[in-house]
Amino acid sequence: MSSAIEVEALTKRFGGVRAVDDLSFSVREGAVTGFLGPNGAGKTTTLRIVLGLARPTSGTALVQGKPFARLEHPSRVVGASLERAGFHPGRSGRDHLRSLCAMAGLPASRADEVLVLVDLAGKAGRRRVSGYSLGMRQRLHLAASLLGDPAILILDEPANGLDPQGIRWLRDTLRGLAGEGRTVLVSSHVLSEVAQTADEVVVIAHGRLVEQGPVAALSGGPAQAVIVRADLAPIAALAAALEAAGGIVEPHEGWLRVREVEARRVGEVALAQGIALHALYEERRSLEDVFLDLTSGEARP
Amino acid sequence: MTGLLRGELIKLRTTRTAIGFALCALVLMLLALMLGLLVSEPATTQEKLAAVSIAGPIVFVLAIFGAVGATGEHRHGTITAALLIAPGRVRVTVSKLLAYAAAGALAGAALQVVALAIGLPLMLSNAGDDPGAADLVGLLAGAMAGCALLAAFGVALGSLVRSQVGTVVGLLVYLFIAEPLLGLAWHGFDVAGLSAATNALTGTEQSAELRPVAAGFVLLGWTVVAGAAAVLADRARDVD
Repeated sequence: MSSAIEVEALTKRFGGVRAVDDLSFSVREGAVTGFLGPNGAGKTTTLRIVLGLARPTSGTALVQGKPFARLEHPSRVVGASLERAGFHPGRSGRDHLRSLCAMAGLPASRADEVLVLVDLAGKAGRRRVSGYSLGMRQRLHLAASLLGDPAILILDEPANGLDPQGIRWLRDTLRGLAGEGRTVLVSSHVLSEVAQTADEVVVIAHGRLVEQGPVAALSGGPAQAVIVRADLAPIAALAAALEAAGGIVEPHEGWLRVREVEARRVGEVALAQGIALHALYEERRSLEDVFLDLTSGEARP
Repeated sequence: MTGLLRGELIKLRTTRTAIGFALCALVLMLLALMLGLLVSEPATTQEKLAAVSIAGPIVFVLAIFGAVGATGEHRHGTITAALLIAPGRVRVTVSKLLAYAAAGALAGAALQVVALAIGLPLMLSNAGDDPGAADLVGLLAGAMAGCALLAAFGVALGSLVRSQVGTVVGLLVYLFIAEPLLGLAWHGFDVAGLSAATNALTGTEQSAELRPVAAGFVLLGWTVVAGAAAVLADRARDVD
């Protein structure tokens, strides 16, 4: 499958600071890709270069094989929302979209259509943006990015400032958009925000690529330990049996943490001892742990 | 380009900024008109035209309007939204220049018509010849051109400087402090400076050295230079 976005050896310096440092990655067509990194990792700068708002010091960033500014109908190819892309506080959301429709050569009715898509139709769309909540602004950002019904969506931290309901709405919306076959590149500094939606992730830290691959690859890896729960009385006997089987056991009140023995073997030992287990599960590193390890281990040169 | 221009005109119409500046210019114009008619008694055709013409400071409101419009794009981040839809920076800047020039021309026409409607009847009893139809058409054309060019100049300057406070304060300091001082040092600023050219174009002052049409070209030159500088600077600048 071809790449919708191709970033090659991209570097961006601000004075002596390398915001993006020889970064290369690609975004697969039709996939939802999470663009992850801690605050200040260079995500927004990279997206600004991809979208032609900033010039790279070196390297290239292509959308469907061309620089964004050279696309024939940019709004129909890429819909983007960046945090810095703002609204005039005295203008209504609908008027903001209508002005963008005119600039993109789209009919004004498209503004109303996308307002419906993001649940801002009616009075909400006619209100001045100064009266919008952060969640409403994020929806308006998304509406603006959808105006041209683009094949590619680039969203910069769309979940920032959203409450749990808003995050769920965003997740559902992104799933819906991805289900329509669009390519989605969504940046975030919180892995869990995009883990449930993204097919792939690109992780950067200090402007450098740290990891690119399927989300499942990040969350995979061997179990760290086995957690087993049983009644208080027989648990000491179980601990002894597991140690005899080669396990390293950390006893706790009503449960054990067992290393060096697989979950299946723990179950077999418990059965052999005639101990009823209340719970048996593998302890794995969380996505956040993996993410933190990846992004904190990359030292700035 | 037509779409970009329509988009800019929608932006202009959909905030209270334009109305605020129009009201400000109207109040200034009425004050200047009444003050002028109270303290002087225009007797010649030229004096009468000068009395009802839109004076420099009123036209400069349009320059500030343009500057606020252009810098507001950076202040509110709306320039980013526009460039994500239409990435051609030169075309976006030019469309804004044209939109504000059109708004300036409209404002100039409205202000001049109001000034004539109030001022001419008050001068009927004055001695001397009254202005003819050609004089009034010339005055109206000068007001429209002056307001259009100053609004476009404000946009060009704002696009170049980007900072709203910096542009507005800089423009005011230049117009009311720097340019008069420069005019003392070099006569060229007395003739072809922004203030002198605006007054010559709007009919506030009759300059032997700068006829109205030439003054229009001088103002156009100021706008083109500022606009070209903004476009050239944008080639090397990033947008937040």
